[in-house]
Amino acid sequence: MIDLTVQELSLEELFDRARALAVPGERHILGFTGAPGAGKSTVAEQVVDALGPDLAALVPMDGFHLANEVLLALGRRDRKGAHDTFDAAGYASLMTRIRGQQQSNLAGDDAIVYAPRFRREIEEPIGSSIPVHPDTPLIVTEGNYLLLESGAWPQARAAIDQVWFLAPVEAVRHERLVKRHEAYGKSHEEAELWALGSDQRNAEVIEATASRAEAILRLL
Amino acid sequence: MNDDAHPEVLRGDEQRVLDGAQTRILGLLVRNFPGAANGVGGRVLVGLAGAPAAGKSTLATRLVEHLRSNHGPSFATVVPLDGFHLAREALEQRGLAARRGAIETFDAAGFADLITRLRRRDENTVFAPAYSRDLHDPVAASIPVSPETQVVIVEGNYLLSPESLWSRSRQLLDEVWYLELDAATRLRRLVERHQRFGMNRDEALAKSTGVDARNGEDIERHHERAQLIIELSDAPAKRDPTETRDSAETTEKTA
Repeated sequence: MIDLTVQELSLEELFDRARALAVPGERHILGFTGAPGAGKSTVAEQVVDALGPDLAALVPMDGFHLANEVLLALGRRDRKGAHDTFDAAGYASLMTRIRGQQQSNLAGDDAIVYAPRFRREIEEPIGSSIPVHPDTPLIVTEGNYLLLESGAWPQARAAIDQVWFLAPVEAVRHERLVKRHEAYGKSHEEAELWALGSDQRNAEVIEATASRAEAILRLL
Repeated sequence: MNDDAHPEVLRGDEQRVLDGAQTRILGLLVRNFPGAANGVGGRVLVGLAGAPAAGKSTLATRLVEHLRSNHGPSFATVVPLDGFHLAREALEQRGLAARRGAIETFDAAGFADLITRLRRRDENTVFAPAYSRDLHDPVAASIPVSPETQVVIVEGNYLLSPESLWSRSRQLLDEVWYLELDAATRLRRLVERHQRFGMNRDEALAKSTGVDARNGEDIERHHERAQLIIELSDAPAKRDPTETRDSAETTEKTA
């Protein structure tokens, strides 16, 4: 078995670690992953807010959801959120462009890279939504499948400097997940069923990838 | 590619244009992939440029249908440049909301990256974005381009622009064709289109003769950079696919 050492740290300590990657004049990409409910998007937002817009910008992986039109055609509409309902190759290509952004010979507005954004209220990814400027030293990305070994995911991983796997205490994660489902309109019983059912199967797939992270972190 | 030569002209009714375009595409496959028998397995990327409302998307769609009916469903596909509109979110952030539709309101680098990937052809399915007139925003990962696809028709306004990123994409296309339509017909179609999407007649006229006309002039100025000029003798006013789709959606909503 691989030794999965979980490092416990405070949010402030996490910010300091991220800040160390934000070196003006350089470009680094930091990824957060973890099972559903692990707090990826919250933590990624907090890191970007703490560092401020001069040092950091957020490019979430969920901007690469396949459009509903495509999911319908592929018969995967009811599995939206599974790894094969994402444009992994598009994500890999964007991460590669972001990594090399400062080395490109483009100037001015041409040097801006645009990322898509998933809009939950319409459940669609909107293209060319998030401008990434070449002089932003740290780009933070977050999502379920950053460490997956199939398809084009490893190419995205290769462009990301460090992936930090978030591993909260299981009970905390479960509770968060149930609350999220309730917030989107499910009854408590339905929310529990989802969290223990399809979410749990997804969580197991994602947790199996933790050994490929640079660090496994639990926030105090 | 022969950028300095004057463009050739393909003129006639739709059937003649579709046949002529198909012949030319098959010729490009053979010429650019001499190692493959009859160009089988090769891929050509053909740009279809033209001013707003010239009928580019209609012609591109008809051409792809024509190619598919003769060579199978995965043989050809359309990738519209419209999918690379900057999202309203980005336009607002960059102070470009009032310029929407102008060349600087497109994600030229994202487009160049997609064309590079389509040219390299070393991935599984590559997904292109599509502009949604309902959402007034581009939806990412909407159009799958299979690795087997041999003909990609890229249609859009700015394919012939000499600006750096656009000309970089241009270099990766086998040819760019320019669809010509007389100014009066184009203006009428443009006004009708704006009205279909919610403007009143005055607003539609103002936009068509203002921002759109300036964009159109820029586009027309570069038409000599095309390899082929297409002139349809039966302008496809009644076959605009956005029109059909839109009226279908309207019916659905009111039903």
